[in-house]
Amino acid sequence: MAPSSPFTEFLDDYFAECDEHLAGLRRCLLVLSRAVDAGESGRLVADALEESRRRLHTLKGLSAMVGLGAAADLTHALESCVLWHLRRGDAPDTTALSLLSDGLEQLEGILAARKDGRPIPNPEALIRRAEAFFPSRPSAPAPPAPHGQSFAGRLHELTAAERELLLEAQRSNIPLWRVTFEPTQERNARGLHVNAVRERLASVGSLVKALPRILPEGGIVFDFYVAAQHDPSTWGDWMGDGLSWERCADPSFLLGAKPTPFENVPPWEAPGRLRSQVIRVDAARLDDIHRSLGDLFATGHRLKSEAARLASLCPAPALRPLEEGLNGLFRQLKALRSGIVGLRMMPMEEVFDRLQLAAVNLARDLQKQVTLELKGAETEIDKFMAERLLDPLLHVVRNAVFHGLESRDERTRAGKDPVGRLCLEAASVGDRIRITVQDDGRGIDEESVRRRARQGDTDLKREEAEGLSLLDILCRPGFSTKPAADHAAGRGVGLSILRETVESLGGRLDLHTKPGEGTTFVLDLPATLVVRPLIVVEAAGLVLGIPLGEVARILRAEAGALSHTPGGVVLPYEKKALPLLDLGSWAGRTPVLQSPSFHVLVIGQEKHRRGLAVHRIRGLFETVVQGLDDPLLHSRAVAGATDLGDGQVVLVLHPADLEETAPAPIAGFEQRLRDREAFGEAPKEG
Amino acid sequence: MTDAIHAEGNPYVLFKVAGAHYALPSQVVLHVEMVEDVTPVPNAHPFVDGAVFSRGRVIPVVNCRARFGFGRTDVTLKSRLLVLQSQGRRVGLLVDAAREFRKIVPEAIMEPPAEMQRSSRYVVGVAHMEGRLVFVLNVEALLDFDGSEDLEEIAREFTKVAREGGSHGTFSKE
Repeated sequence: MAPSSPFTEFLDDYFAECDEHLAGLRRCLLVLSRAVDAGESGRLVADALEESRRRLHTLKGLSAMVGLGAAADLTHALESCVLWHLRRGDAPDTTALSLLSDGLEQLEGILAARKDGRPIPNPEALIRRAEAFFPSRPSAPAPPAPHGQSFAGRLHELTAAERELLLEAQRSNIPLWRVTFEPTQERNARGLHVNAVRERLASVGSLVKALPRILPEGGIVFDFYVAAQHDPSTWGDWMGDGLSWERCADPSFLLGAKPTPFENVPPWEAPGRLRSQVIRVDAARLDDIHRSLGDLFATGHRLKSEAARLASLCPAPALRPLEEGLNGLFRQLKALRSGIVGLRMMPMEEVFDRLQLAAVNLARDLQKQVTLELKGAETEIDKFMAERLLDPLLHVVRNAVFHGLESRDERTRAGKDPVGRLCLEAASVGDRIRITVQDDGRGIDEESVRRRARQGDTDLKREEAEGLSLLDILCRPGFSTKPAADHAAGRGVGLSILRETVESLGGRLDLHTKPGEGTTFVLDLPATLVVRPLIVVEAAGLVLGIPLGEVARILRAEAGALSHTPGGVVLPYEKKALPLLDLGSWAGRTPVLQSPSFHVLVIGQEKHRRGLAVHRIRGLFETVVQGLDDPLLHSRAVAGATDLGDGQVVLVLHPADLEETAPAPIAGFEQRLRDREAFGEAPKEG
Repeated sequence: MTDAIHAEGNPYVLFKVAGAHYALPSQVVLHVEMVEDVTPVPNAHPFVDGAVFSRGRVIPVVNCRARFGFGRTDVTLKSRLLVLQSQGRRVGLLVDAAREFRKIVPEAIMEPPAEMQRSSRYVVGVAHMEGRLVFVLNVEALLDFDGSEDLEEIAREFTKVAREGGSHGTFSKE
């Protein structure tokens, strides 16, 4: 394990700052893509280009500082591309956008490689591509300015302040001069450079504007527009050194200059966007605080159980201050927990940005068209969960664009809007978050998937395949309906990883698809892994926690009330049959349902409604839940673990994953129940 | 055959499983703890006895006896939990006993003998100490569950080599 040195900490800062800039670049790229698609230009594009330039420039400097040459060179090439557009006042076209988005992706790859200590990919090919299209020095010179006008660069217009200076000079009848300075090595060496000239001119008159101008034969000169009473020849001897001048016959042309595609862009000085005060927090520190919080809750529970024990030894009034203190303690701990949970949460927006960008880029590469609808970008999700979900979600989105979305022609022929729709949605449902990715493409042909599964997957027998849902088949590792790996969508591993990731976070993945209409993926997850009021139960000696939010009711039941159907054991409940799941059996221990009496936790909605049978209910506990990260501990339906005060690991379940659907014979049973009620007698057999 | 114990050398933690001796580099062993109640995790990997808290973190407990194909036994007062760290993971290893911290010079670690076919992937080498043979383990292989191992064979190999290496003080290999 590498020792932490000042340099490694510096590197961490470097990566953190790069992440911020990369996120900013992604947003800029999104703006530019949309603008290009809509044929827009103007302020929006100029701002996005300028912000991109600034961020690339910063990234270049940072990368050079830490010695990451590949990143420095790549950002330089991308910066040149952006500069090229800024100078010409052009919005980028698809070539440029493609270059920038590929460059961004490669940059992310270089940084990730450096972070993981892997060999760093070579950006040379991309740099050469950039150079070919957007050389660092503009090769096309601006047309020579006609006399009296030198706004060769269409970028430049007067700012309000400059306009004011000019108008004032006009009002006072002060003439306007154009003084041109040609910088050279030799003059530079003597200290006669642009800024020196600018200062001198500013001291003799009113400096309205300074503009660079490219000469037809190459080379740069600077035009200074100075309003001064007297002829420049009187301004000083230095005027003869590299300076020429002429009077502007009609300065009003400056005021009437044709509006440029980018209105009023102040050169190189766009203010940094003011965002909320943000503090970077080291993820490991947040983990430590999280653990300390768990310890606090555990200690609180220990104190509570001691107080309960003392209740039999001490008179009640003596214990009251202790009990009140403990209640206060738990209130405060819950408030602290909220605060810490808040630290870990982030809006889905950043995830959506990434998904959007990937979709837009891929669509462009494939010459398809897609518009994105985003809903609920402000919905918050645990940052660590977001990080784990990002890659799988990217895979789903790329799949949707690559496989799901038809070409314009196909869509038109099918009577659809030629532009495809991809909808990303995030919504809070109780203490859970639901993320939806929906496209209106061609849908998934279940029959062909099943056929392919039977043909391709040798260890999947026919009967087995019948029992599996479409999603099950798609999520088998290595499954793919495409004979060769697609560059964009990868080789059939993505969906299995998505499902695994979702389940390991205590969530659930669902798929809805209709051929010709589209496909929808729904992820249902706890919004955070941290906050959990739990109902703690015991089954065959095993202590388990069920999140309070999942439990509809708690019942006490007797063995006599049970009915044994071929599909499983059921309990009559609210005029229906409640299928029971024996948590003792599930844990591989003594079945609960063999006891004369027991408790049942009713969970799930509507047709997924079930009862969890347990021996005892211990009570409601406020806890902090840890995720079970190590793959060795992955078990479907186990969402995490907590400590209730005795140092023992208590597993927290995600009940929805304990079993899929109610067994079939229930329907007949329910009918018999209804018959019994209706006729007030035992139903006929059959 | 020179004894492996020197004042110099790299530090190792020595432990016992099913009568044989093993060693892991100290730097991969975070703590050595008494075994408290291990919470079973239903449907987890068969080698995994369950989960415990270690310094506030939930970690899996890998039963080393099961890992090497030996039958499980009850936890005794001598049983220990080695909390290992490797490739960013923290994993607990349940062993029969662990009391010694020793230094071993690299030269004293020799190639595993030819009899170790299936088991050699777990073993960096073998060292000879005070009349017994110590298997120096590869922690990455230890924690990497292939699923295709022939556990019975592995257990047999460890037992055989340990017995021969220990009693004779040497073993056929050079």
